[in-house]
Amino acid sequence: MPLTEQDLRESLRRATDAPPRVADRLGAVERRVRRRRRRIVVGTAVAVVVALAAVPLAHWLPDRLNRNEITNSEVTPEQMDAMMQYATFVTAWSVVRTGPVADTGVVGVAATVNLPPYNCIVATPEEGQPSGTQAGWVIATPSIFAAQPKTNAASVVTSFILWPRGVTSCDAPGPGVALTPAPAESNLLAWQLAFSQRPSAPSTPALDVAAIYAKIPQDRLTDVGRAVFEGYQKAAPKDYGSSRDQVERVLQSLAQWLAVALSSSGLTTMSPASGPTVLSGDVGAAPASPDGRYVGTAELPAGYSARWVAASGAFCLQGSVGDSGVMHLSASDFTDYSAPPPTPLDGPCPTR
Amino acid sequence: MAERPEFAEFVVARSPALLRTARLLTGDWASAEDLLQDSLATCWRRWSRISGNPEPYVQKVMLHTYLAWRRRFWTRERPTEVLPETSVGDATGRVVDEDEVQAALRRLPPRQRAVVVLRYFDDLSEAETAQLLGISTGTVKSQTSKALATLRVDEGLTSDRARTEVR
Repeated sequence: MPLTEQDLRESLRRATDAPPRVADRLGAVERRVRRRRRRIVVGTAVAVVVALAAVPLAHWLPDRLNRNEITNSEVTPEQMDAMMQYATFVTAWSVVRTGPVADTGVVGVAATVNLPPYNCIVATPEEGQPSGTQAGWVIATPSIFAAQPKTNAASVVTSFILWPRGVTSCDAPGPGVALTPAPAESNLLAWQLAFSQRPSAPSTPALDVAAIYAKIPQDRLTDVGRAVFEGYQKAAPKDYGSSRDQVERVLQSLAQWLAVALSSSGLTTMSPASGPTVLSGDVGAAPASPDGRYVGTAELPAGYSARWVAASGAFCLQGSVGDSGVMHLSASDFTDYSAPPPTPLDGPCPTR
Repeated sequence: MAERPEFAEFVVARSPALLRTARLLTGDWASAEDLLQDSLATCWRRWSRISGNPEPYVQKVMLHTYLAWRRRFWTRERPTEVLPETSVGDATGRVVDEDEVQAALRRLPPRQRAVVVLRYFDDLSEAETAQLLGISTGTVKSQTSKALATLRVDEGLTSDRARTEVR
């Protein structure tokens, strides 16, 4: 039989002939409306909560990811050594006073400043970080401070503890490098670190900060760490002068130390002394000089010699570097430490 | 619904007819009731903005809700050999069994099904159908033609009856 459009219409209508009775369709619609309202309210509340939670999460997550990166990044013990060493330098540079340091310039390294009684900074890996070749690294000032240069001229640091291997805390490490109290009023340590050389190497920085910095993975440096290095590069001397200039600086620095030691604490090293050796003051008996500077040890490098008379305070130092020729510095009564030390002269110490 | 008495009057008066349309769209009474109530709930929120006869608007909402359901829950409904509901036999011996037509209707794509229901159940013109579905009149024509062609060769409709072309 033909299926006409009318057949289709009738068939469709017959299919809907007997709809089920719904007692309360209006009520059902009302319930749906209320349910939707509740959903909107709950949805809005959830959205607000999620949005509020997202704020701290947005801060926490990158930090967390960053920490994971740090934890997972590979740092060799030698790199961690460099990181700790640089952290002590940054801490000294940043003129911190005492207690733990918030930003050591290096991610994953903590630093503690002991000031006073010791002008000593020790850096150690933070918890969960890989170890260095030793537990920590130290920068300290166990001895007198040389006079601050008036300009960015180089000076000689007589006996700082500058990252010595084996010294991992600010406890007195032994007679040769005994820590002594240091003044807390200034940032002498940072000053000396930037401008100083060792008596045994007067043409290079006492701390090779650039070499240490180069060993640190870039992702371990903070903005502070990078900024300090930029400042250091600008401040550090580029020219160490002639060999005669270098000898003069060494002799004058040693003369200053020797004068303070003779006037305040006495020397435990017997006169005369020839380098390489370490001159020691009697730290335990009388650590401080009258003007507040401190006596500990001083390096007398190879090629140098010293002799003194404890009773009178007279002394003479001599030495040479490269083609400088032997120069000497003698003093009979050098007690004004703030005044420029005597000028070295050519030739060895005069015979007595 | 006390705050919208016109809405309550409309539901009481027109929901049975709307339910029948919904029944042909969804294929069973339970889903039809669900579709109708969902559509009415949607309209309730916009009732104050509806001007004139609200029925075309409600129809439109219902059609769009149905098509949205089909997109969202496309896995829920599948053509089956056995319909979930059975009707009593055709005592009058009509030329087409409504069960067969219902089954064939359910095998049509949703939009074609909607076009057939609006054109042959609600007796809407092509223009009215196009407006409700938000499509062009030409699309209504083509969808109608395709739907009828599909029904013409539908196995359920042709298996035990000799068919002639739907005019």
